[in-house]
Amino acid sequence: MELTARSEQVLGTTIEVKVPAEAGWFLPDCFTELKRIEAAFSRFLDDSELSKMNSRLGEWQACSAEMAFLLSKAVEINRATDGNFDITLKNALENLGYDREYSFVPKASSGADDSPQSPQDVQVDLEGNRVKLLKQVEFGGFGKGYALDCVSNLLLKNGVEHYYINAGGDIYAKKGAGGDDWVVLLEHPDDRERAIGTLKLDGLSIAASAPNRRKWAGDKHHLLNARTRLPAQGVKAIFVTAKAGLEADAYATAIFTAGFDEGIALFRKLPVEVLMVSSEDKMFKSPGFAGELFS
Amino acid sequence: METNLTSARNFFASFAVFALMGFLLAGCLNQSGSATPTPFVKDDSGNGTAPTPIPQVIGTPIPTVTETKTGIDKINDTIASIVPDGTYQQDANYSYPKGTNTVHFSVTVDGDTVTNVSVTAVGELDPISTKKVADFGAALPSLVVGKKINELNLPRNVAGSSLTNAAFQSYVDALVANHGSVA
Repeated sequence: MELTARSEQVLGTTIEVKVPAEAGWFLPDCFTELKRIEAAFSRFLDDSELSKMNSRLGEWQACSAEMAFLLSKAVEINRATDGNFDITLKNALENLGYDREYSFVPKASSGADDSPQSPQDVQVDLEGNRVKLLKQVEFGGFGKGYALDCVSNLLLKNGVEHYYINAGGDIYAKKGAGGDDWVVLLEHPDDRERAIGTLKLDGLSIAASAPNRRKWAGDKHHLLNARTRLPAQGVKAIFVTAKAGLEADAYATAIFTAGFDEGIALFRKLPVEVLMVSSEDKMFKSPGFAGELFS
Repeated sequence: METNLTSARNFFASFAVFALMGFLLAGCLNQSGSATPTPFVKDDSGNGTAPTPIPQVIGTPIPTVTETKTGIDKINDTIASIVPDGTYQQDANYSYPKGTNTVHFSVTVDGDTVTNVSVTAVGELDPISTKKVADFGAALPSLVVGKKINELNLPRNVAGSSLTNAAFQSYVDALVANHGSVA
């Protein structure tokens, strides 16, 4: 089957969508949707719904149904991962330098509350579309995964059933009638020109994290442990598969930042499969992980 | 990945679990006095032995019975040796002087060999068990070298980490330019 593809910089990374050639007319709409998500949820834009919400802490405020949904998912996943998935790491990220000026220079703490996410921090009224925040939040931990789900739903609604969406290394793909298998390469954590294996995706999402390419000041990177509020140690790379992009992305964030041994214990409770590489190059592969590693 | 366990597989799973426990936890079990009776080789030294490293288990046939077994055990083991391929999982409780720990074992059988083994803690573990689970982690296979992507005859559908810092900076520039000023 002949394919056509389009690729743009959105959501802080390169996003590529591949569809059958005859469905190519729909690609611009996919990127309109991605830019809509970016405009609504980017912490780097003052007028995003997220930034406006972050500027009104401590009071109940109206929000979109979509925002209420995302916040309630964040709370649910925070609980399911024993607190390892934490959307209140915004202050910690900015103190380390991962801020809108992209200074990447650590600075003294602003004094804002930087404790792990607690139930009081994010209160959601799903039916009334209202939210109350006690701390600023950001969606870096599952934003790309959510974007995959949005584009996937959009394509399906419009009758496109064979597609591949790659958001900065997080992928969702679905094999439709007449289409070839979508075979994904698992990038080697130390060398982006090498792959450690392959994996077929069909109605499955894979989230990958290996922050070595976003490191600054020697050892700082943007995947912070929820308890220490500092760059997570112990894991070099992770690949997580799950049915939905949002879940794969969020659980990958949680398992990676929990640490290697803790991540193995945590994965057991979650509806995912995982391949994880420790800082010492040890590999843990869950029995159900569908990828095949090169020997 | 739980398979339905028939009574024969149940026995195998228990056997494999306790064989692995013997490898990993021999020291603890000898000290406890309250271990569940198991059909594997008993360590009479009473001192506790160092655990056998897990990689020796992978690729080797299932351990066979010893002379200390009763006739009924030998029959059960013969039944158990006819085991379908698959992944068997079992939680195992073991007691030690200060309490009870639970560890989760997963064993994958392919043909007549064990092809994968994993053990993870369920809840909090005492320090000895934590170290043994960590030692297991140390015995895991190492990162493979992999293959050059250019040499694979496959489309460049790559799952991995995303942009470098430099690319990220230019992204924020463009984003701000398209949306107006950022305070």
